[in-house]
Amino acid sequence: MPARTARRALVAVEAARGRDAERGASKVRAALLSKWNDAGAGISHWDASGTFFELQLGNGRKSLTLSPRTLLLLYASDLAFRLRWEIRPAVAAGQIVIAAPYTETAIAFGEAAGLPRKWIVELFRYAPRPDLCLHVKDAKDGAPWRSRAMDGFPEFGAATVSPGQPSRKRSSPRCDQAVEALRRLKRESRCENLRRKTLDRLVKRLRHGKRTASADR
Amino acid sequence: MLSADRSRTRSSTDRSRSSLRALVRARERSRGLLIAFEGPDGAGKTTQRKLFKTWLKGEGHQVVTSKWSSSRLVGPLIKARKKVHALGPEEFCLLHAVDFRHRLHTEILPALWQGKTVLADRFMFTGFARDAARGLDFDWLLNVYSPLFWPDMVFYFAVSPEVSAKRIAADRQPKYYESGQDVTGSEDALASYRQFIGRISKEYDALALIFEFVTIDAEQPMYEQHRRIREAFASDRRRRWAKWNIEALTEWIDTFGDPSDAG
Repeated sequence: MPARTARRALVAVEAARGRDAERGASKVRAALLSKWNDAGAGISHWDASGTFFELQLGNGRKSLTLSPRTLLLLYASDLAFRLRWEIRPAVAAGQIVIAAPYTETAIAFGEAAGLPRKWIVELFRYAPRPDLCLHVKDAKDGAPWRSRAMDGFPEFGAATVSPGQPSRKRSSPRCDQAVEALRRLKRESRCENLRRKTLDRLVKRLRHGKRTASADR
Repeated sequence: MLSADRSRTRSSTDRSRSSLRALVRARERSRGLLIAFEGPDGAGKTTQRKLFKTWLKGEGHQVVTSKWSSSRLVGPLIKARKKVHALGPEEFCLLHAVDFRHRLHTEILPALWQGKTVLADRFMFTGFARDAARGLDFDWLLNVYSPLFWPDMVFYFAVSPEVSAKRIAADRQPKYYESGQDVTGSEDALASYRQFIGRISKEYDALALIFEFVTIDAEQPMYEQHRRIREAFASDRRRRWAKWNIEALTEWIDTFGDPSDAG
């Protein structure tokens, strides 16, 4: 009997905080590997292109102010990089890619920041639909958003789109809206909650079921 | 309950948007002019822009220049990535769109609001022409650059691909992205440039019709072109701010605050 090979797939992991997305992605990967030894599964992280890191470093900027639209364009450019160099080649090679975050986090953040949903969805038209979208619940660790700009995209957005908020403050009104928008992902059935049951189903589906991913387009 | 909250938020957002639009309309009379210089490489845009700037200053205008891909935010980053040929078509397009939007918000709109004349050495049309020539969908490009900001005048320096290639080759070897080697796959930069600039010129010709460019024959003598620019400027200089422009302006004020408050 031939050895079962990994089934190509793209799994999106979305969360209101960067660390939650990272944690969720690691959980998904661990679940895949524990139940399926030869599952080739890799994680595609936010800011793989280094764009946000370079902006944060650039000229020792202390108060970088961006419009929500500029921020979303930056995210889209980073995602284009991830698709080109990480996601598409890995999926084409038959691997499972866990993208943390993918498009829903950016869509929710952009909407919360006042951008028209239609514009954001069209912006990400170049990105293939994932096979599965998972939402990680907010850990609510109470840490300030602004001092953790490099923890993830929502944190970076909160620090640059809502300037003028005192850094000691936990969040700005826009951040709160963004968190709420990300929590709505589940209610609007755009994502499933990340639970053990969901993970079991995912492993089963990838091992035996049909795939629907178009990431290798 | 949730939907009631959302509709309350929406109506208060609508109210604040409509007051911002009123603020923008009130500025229409005292605002500055935005004039863009567009065309393929080697068409002589920069020379004409400099000549026109000198003339405008002599006429008493306060003039500000904004150049393509020059924002402090991502200009250096784009340059570094171009150098190592690391950009795919989408990333190339999106980073230039970031550069454009950031310059619009931090250089162009503040200057226009203060009544200054802005000369744009390339504008969003450069993005449209180059990215469409790279095979990206035009509707998607329009969305990326939305809300569009339509200048009062766009001078389009029309030059044949052959002349453009000849002028560029006289000085230097075309660069990797300039010559479109990322899409043509050609090893020969000049051959690739000839092929790519033909596609760009076609896109420009279409844009010239859609966005009502003032076409300048860039193969005419330099002073003749300058005279034609002055003539066109004198006859038809101001375009009412389009709906798109108002949308872009309200978004700018919404993000950066009422510029009138800054004095």
